[in-house]
Amino acid sequence: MIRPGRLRRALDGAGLYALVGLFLAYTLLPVLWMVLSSILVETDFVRFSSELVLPRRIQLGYYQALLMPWRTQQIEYGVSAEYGYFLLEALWHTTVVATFVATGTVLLGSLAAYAFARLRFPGRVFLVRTYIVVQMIPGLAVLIPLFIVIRGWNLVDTYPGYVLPLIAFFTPFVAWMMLGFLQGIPRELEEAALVDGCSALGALWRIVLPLSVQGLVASLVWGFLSAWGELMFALVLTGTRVKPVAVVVSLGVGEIQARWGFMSAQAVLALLVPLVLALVFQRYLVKGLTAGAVTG
Amino acid sequence: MREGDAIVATSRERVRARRPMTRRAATTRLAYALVLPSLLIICLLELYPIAYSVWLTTQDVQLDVRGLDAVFVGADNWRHMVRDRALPEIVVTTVHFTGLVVIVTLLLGLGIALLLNQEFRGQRFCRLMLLVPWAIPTVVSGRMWGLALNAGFGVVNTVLRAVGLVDHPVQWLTDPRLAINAVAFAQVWTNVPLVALFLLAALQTIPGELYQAARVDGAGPWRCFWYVTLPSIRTVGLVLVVLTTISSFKVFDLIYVLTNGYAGTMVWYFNVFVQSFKNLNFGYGATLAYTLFVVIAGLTVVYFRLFPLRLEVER
Repeated sequence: MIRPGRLRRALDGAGLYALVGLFLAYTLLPVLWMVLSSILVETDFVRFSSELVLPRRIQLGYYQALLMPWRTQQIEYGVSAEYGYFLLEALWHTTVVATFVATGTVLLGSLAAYAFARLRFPGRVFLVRTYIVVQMIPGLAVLIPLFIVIRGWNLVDTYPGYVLPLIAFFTPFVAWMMLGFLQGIPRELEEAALVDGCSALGALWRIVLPLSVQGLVASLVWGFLSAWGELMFALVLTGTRVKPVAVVVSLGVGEIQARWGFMSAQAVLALLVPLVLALVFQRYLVKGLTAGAVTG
Repeated sequence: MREGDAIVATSRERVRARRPMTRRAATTRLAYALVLPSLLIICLLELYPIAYSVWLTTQDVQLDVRGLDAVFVGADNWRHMVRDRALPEIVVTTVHFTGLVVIVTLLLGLGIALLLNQEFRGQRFCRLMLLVPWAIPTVVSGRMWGLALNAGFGVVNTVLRAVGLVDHPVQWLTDPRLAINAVAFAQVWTNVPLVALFLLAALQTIPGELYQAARVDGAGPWRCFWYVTLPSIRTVGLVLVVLTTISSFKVFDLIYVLTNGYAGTMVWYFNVFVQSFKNLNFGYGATLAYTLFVVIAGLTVVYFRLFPLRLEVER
């Protein structure tokens, strides 16, 4: 394929790389800055940040306090051990929540997507549209009544009380994403299987499933990431027994009386898992996210 | 023999006539079996609450230990909304925020997409890095920008002062004239990757022959961009305008972390949250939420106009 190289020639090489540098600075510097604040002593960081005085040493005290609270003997760098236990617990809870949400959404969403992509049945277009419209519903419009409903069921601050609403909330998008993937799989393969006497379900299992691994992975990662960073539902539907990491990160300086660097360390630990997942599965994710838009 | 043939033929015909019917019925049954699990959970935990919230808009709701105490108040919540003195300013803030975010995100996204559509060393790395702001949880982005925009020691002020653009620290997050723009800036940062990805995907579908043809006709880079590139990504661009508008209406995490709705950053959506979960005025909160829902539903209609469903299914 011939790539349009005109713009490139218009800018000469140096200009292009200047833009690339700007782009990388814009996307990466803020993150690196936060990482930096988490590995400097508070006073060093404040002087670096406000007077550009280069710091002389780095420290990993915040990370040690957060990841190995049992080894934090005294209050170092203004951090007490309980914050560490607090965060570790939150990371664990978030992992559980995100795993259940990802599995649940992909299971439900891909089944629906298969029906939408491959089967003709009355009400199909209506249902697909419903699934798209549902994605546009603002979360708060659901959350207010949902809180009352979940509270009535005595499920506030439990795993199901938080996981199930998130599954309901994310499934339509996963169905939409999987629909994009499934439409890209040539139908002839399944038809061949059907002619050879395979049932529709058998064709789904033996032909479509192996071919849609990319889409399933992309959906799983998307579901995991979305659940991992979710804040609003978490603020309302969780509390102390279930404590997502987003809530912990959202606590302000006044609320936990900690240092900026400490809060940065917390935030860095909260972003690590989603960032690694996104970068590892970048190709699938990009394909999945843009699948619907370009073919349409 | 003949009679026997005839019998065979009719029974075959009968089978042939019956089979499509039963197969279609079986397909329908299978399809609904596949859709049902997700449909059930969506109905139970999304559509039922939405219907419930219609009822809530007519109630004055008090939550107590025993449960829900709701009193029918008719159209009081709606009347209250129309008369609410705080709302005009909130609407202005919301429109300001949304307009700013949509324009900047689209322009910046297009710029990044055009850049990453060029061939250069490190292009694949750059495309990978494009995902970073998208993958980071929004709460964390909020923390991050709170750190960089801090009025006391924030690096943004320091850099601006070093290059001589300002002479005293800017109160990014507490000055009522500035704070909403600071939040918009953070929102653009988190939203731009997705927009750029969509535009990049659209750019990659433009056949190279189009550019060759334009060049043969003597078009320079700008005319190529204007007459070939832009028309080709127009649809995706319009879809993105709608989607970015909707997502800007739903800004929550960043405001919660950065300003908590103070300093002139109270947008409609955040106000819904404050009314319902801080003031515990669920009836009024539901009314505000419902209004937003209607606006977004209107935008969804636009979305369907721009982006008609294409489901190629034959069976």
